[in-house]
Amino acid sequence: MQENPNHIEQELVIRYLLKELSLKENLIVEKWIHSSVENKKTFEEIQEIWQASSALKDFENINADLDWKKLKVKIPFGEKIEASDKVSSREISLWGYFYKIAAVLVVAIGLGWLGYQQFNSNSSIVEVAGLGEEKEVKLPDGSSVLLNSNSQIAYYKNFKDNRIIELEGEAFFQVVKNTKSPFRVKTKNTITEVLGTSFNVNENEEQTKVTLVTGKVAFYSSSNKDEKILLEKGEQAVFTKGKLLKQQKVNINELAWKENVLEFKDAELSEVINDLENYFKVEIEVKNPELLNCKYTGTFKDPELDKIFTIVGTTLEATIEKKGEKFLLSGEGCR
Amino acid sequence: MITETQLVEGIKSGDEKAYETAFKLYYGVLSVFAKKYVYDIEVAKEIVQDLFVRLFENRNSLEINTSLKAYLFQSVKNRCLTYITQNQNREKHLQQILILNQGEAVDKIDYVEQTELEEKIFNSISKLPEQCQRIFRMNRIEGKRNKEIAEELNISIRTVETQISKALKILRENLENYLLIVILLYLKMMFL
Repeated sequence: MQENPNHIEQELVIRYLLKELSLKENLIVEKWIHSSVENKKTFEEIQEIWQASSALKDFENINADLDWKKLKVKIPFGEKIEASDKVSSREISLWGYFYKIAAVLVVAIGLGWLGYQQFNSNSSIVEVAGLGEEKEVKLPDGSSVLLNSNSQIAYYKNFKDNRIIELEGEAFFQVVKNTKSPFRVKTKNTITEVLGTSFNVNENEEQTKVTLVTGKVAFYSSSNKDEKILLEKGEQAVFTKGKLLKQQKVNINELAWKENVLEFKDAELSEVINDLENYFKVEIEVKNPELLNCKYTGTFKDPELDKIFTIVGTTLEATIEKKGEKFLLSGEGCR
Repeated sequence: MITETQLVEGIKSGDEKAYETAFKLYYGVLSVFAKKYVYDIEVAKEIVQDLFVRLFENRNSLEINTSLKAYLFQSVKNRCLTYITQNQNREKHLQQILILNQGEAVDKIDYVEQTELEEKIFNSISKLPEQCQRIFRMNRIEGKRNKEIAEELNISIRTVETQISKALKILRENLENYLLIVILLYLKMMFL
């Protein structure tokens, strides 16, 4: 090796760092490193850049503009009144006026809330997001709802006085704090009650899932108001077949539909398939069950299904066919 | 162009533009920095976001004697350490951190320079030539092996290797001055 490395030697160094070299080759590289101060410096620089570039993925996934938009809502810029208790006396009429969202827990009251039968077309408003659509709805109190595909909500016209929303499907809520009027989301079997926070409710035939992004939320079954779960940010509760379960960890891909990113970190293929099915609303079948143990790591921004299939397929040496409405994944599996 | 002093002034007086500027400037590097302590990027981002809210709340009593950046780094670090100690899975979590840091007390390790270097590299990547950049990203960001990259782009593995080397060469040249300073500090840290 020469004093000034050309590109061949740089590759050797990388493979050395990745521990891909034979014993003999390792010794050659090490000898070169220690043969001069220049070489040592060169090696350390390469090593440092190589090591530091493992954080690139993290930087790539950070969207400061988007997160600022979400964050600034929580900071009371330009507010003249400092104390948050005076909140309820002000009219919230525009999206721009927001109060600090506090992590205050609302103890479930469970009295006097309304059921489906009390909604009639004269006094209520229904908002629907069709299949493949996403819809953002602004509520009269300034809160907002982002409806996922094939979901709908209904609420009374006098919403400001009685903040109840009925939900079918999945939606992400950003709620304005109002101590005088608790915000409640009702699905077929559950009620989610909150003061000021952002959270996601996903309801389908089998279960209702509430994922909390910020703040605190009380989640309880509508048939048994004593059994309740208190959620903190990052937590998720699931209500299924009459039982309430609290899940601590949240799969980052749960809210993927909101930010158009799918991330997999050493994830088993079974998990990847599950997330793909939920995100793209498709059905994927795996021919060889051994494939399910394969692990995959990767991040997809603005994911496109065919691209993902190509990439994952190449990585795991699997092929994908489309059979009617389903996708069929076949391959040998991983070591 | 807003100066550091103006930025600090703006923050102390609660000016929204100042907060927005500071946030967009430092959010990325602070979050990746926090992630080194808490291991979860979502938790890391949350910590940084909370910091900015608190910054506004306490703006009247703020005392920033060093630079704004240094102040923010220190604040984030403190919050991370608090988070670690308050974490419900405390035992398991602390153990994990200790093992990975090979016994050094986590509060003594300084990740600031390391994170700043990582940010510089990230910013430099976008200036690489197109093919070179693409391949480097596929390798380092998407985590693909050289064989996969070669197959996907329909080129030889040799070409992939050459391009990655080229990327490293350019990065080394761009960061030359910065690297010289950082190496000494880096050597003190555990190589993960």
